[in-house]
Amino acid sequence: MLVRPLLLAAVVVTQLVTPVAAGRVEVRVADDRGDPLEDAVVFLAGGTPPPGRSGLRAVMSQRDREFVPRVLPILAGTAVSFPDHDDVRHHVYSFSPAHKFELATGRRQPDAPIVFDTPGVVVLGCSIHDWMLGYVYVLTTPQFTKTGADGRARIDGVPAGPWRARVWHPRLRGAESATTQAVAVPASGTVSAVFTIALTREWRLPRPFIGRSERAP
Amino acid sequence: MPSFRFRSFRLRIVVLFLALLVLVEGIAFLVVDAAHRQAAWTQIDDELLVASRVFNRLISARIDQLSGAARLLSGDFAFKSAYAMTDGDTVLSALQNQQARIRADVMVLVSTARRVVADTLHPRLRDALFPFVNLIQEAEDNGQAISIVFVDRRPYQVVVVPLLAPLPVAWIVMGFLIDDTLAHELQRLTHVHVTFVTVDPPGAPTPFASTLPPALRAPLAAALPRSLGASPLTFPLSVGGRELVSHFAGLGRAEDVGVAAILQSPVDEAFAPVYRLRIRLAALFVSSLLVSFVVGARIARSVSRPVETLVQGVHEIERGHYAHRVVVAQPDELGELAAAVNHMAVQIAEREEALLLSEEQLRQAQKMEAIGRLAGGIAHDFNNLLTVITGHNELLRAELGPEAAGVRAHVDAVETTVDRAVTLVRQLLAFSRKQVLQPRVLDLNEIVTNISTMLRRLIGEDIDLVMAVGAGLWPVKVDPGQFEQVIVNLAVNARDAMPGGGPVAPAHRQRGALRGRRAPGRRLSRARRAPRGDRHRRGDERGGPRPPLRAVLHDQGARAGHRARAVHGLRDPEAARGGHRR
Ligand SMILES: [Cu+2]
Repeated sequence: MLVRPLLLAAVVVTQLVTPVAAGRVEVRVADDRGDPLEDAVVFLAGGTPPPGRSGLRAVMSQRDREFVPRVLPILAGTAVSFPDHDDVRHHVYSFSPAHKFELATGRRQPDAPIVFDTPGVVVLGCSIHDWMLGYVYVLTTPQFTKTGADGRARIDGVPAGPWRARVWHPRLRGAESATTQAVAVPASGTVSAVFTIALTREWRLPRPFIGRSERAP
Repeated sequence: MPSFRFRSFRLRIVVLFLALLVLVEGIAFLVVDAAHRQAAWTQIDDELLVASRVFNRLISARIDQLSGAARLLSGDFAFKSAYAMTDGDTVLSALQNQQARIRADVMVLVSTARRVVADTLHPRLRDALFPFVNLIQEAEDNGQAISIVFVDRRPYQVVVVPLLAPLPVAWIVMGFLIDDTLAHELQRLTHVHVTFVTVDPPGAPTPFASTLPPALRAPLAAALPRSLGASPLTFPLSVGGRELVSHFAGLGRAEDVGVAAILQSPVDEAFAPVYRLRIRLAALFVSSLLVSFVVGARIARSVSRPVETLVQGVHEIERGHYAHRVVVAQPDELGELAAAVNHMAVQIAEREEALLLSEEQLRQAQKMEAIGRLAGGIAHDFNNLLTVITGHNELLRAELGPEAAGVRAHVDAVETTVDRAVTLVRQLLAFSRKQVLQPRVLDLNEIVTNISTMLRRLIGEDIDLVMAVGAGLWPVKVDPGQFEQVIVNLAVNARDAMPGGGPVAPAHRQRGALRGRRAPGRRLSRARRAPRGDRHRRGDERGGPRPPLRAVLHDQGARAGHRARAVHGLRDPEAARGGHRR
């Protein structure tokens, strides 16, 4: 179920971009200890955003008192909806400069989707549940993906040519630009890249033990 | 002074008694006092140890409270939104509000870029670089930071926590001032003096907050060891004349300056109960000493009093007061001793009396001897005269013719009379012991008969002399003169004993047997020792002096002084033998 919105986003992207000659970029991201790193956003900088992006949609759910997905990479201009699947209400907010917003507590009807135009990190919190932490990563390039639990990801349909691949992660230590790797995408076939990044400490507050098992996934 | 000596004897007992008590009590006092002092020191140490634990707990509780409040603030959505949505003034007032709510002394909000967003100590300060960047870095690395910082030269215990939205968007710096108020607050809970010092290794530790009176702070600074952390954690310290046991509790570092707390417990306070106890002990000891003195004096008197009495009695005897009796009515050794002293006094008195008597006798004997000599001298001259008379009477008789029968009768009478006078003179001479003793074997009857004429004359007319001559007597070897004297003496005694007249009958007979035949050489002394009942025995073939007779005489002499006078010459064999001594 974690994969579903991602697939949705991927489908949207592939529908929009129809390259003549396209290759595949496969990446593997590990932390500085060599462990596979999940939820790392890998993108190819300098891609041209497709025109007419009004139809872009993405979903950041609240399920079992967590943001799902934890990291949501989107193309700027995407409208993100925040459906609440729990039996409690959440109070989602962001004080990130990229997009400050607040979804008031006690909402019954689904709010109108929020359109994220400014590239950058939007850190999502919930004032009801301090441990809830989600990220919306707003990109200007359509060539992006997100690693799974095995630390692997791939980008399909990349026009052949030299690209700069980059990685962003919520705990990335140092500047994002420092992760840049040059990749030569072939007309057809696959190019691989391996990223090893240093991590900062995790700021996520511990989740209280109570109220977790009521709604098992 | 005998009484003094005895008082000192009594004193000696008491002093010994008390000295022993003082020794025992002194040792007890020292031991107990040492134990109490040890206990007091232990108590101080324990107190300081407990106080330091309490202190550390209080400090960490205070820090926990502070960081808890800071975390609460970091989760406060209104504050987050105030920070995110509004300007510095609003954030400042929110900080001030929060500071008042949790009674902190300082609150600073620092941006992730280390810039001061708002500072309650310096409300006008905006956007300046936060001076303690290391703290922020530490908080970034560890999630929070705890430290002591000096702001405007005043020390603050601070915590740094992130303002989470939900990632750190800023840093909340929250602190309380370390000052006298805090020190006093801690003192109320730890019951020890609390002093905060900066520990600057090259310099001396400097107190900056304390519960000690201000006058003691400078001496404390002077007294503190330079290397505080290196010394033992607990150490005595003399501050302004007060002894303080001090305990070092490190707090932390403010940048490059160490900050520590010195916990101090005054020795005099801990020792106050010891001193009270000491006084009580001393009072107890003194009173027991007094009681012991009284009891000891009584006991000593009960011992020394009979001894005093005894010694007094002995001194009385010494002075010749033999009638004095020592009265110690005790059934113990002292009582026996008193009885012995009394007995001794009686014996001494008797001996002295006997001695006096014998001296008197000696004097009498000497007088008698003098008289005897005089009589002997006179008898000698008189004998010469009698010789002349006898000569002339013989001449007269020769010249008388047969016709002068009448005259012849007178001449005969003169001769007879002169013979009798010669006999008397001889007897006088014998009496005066001018004669040499010449024991011969005699018939006693013959001697007695011979002197009967003289005896009659001696005893006078009122006394009848009844001569009872014994039959069958053994011959006796004796000096006849002496024997005659004995008879004379006895007769004279008998006369003296009968002033109203009566019969005197010198009698002699043979009695019993002589003892000690196997030790003839010691016969005399034996006889002397056992004067009563000595008798001759038939079959005793030995001649020589007859002890029984002499013993009887001696015995009589010993019993009656006036008789002894007459027989004195017989009592002393030496005197008798030395009749020709002069
Ligand atoms: Cu929530």
